[in-house]
Amino acid sequence: MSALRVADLANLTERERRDQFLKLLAPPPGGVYPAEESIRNRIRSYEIRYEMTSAELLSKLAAGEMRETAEVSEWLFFLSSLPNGARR
Amino acid sequence: MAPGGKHSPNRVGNYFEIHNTRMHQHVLEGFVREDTLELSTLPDGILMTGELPCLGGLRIEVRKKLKRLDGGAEPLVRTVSYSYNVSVAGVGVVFRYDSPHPFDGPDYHGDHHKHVYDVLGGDREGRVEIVPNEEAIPTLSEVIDEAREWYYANRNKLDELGLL
Repeated sequence: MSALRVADLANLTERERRDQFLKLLAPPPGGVYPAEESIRNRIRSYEIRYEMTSAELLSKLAAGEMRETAEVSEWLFFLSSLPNGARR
Repeated sequence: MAPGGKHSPNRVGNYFEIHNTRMHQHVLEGFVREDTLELSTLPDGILMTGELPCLGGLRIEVRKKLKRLDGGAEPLVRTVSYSYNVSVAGVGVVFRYDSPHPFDGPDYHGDHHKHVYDVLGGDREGRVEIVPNEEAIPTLSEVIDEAREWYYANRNKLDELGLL
């Protein structure tokens, strides 16, 4: 299951809602979580647009050479959301 | 997080029941036009992302990660990171709350913090305020309340700028 609209949960019975969570939380076939794949794609798109790797972004932020815009903040959020820790 | 506090772990079903009750109120009230938030799964938790279109061209971008603390159909979950970005479409950011960034960087990266901009005055640099304590870390519903207050406080100016 790839995504579930939160608002749709409000229209379900408790049992239906429980089933939705069971489906949502079940390990995906092949072990590839769509959200993880989607995050990696987002990160790749920032790296292409800014013409720098995520490691370079982090260096520039640490050195005060780059401003934390809304998009940079989004980039940082997704980097830190990857399950194996803060960095790819 | 303090036991029993607003950010304490909760069963996933309860968590989203509370979320939907509050969001329904915001939509009924008319400030939030639609709840488009979606859930997707990571090996260690749940990601909630999306955008809430609001009155006056405001939009609230939501990114939040809930960590799964146990198993089963109703696992215990707790927010481990978030970013709530409030902006005026086509103009700029009003404010953004971010959880600590686990990376080297400015001092505020280690704290829950808020970026604040005088967006209608052309401010693109902004300033950073540290969230002083756990109780002051906002829930999404509190961020919506703050965005709504900003909207009503700045409605005339938004109108003068042709943004309404």
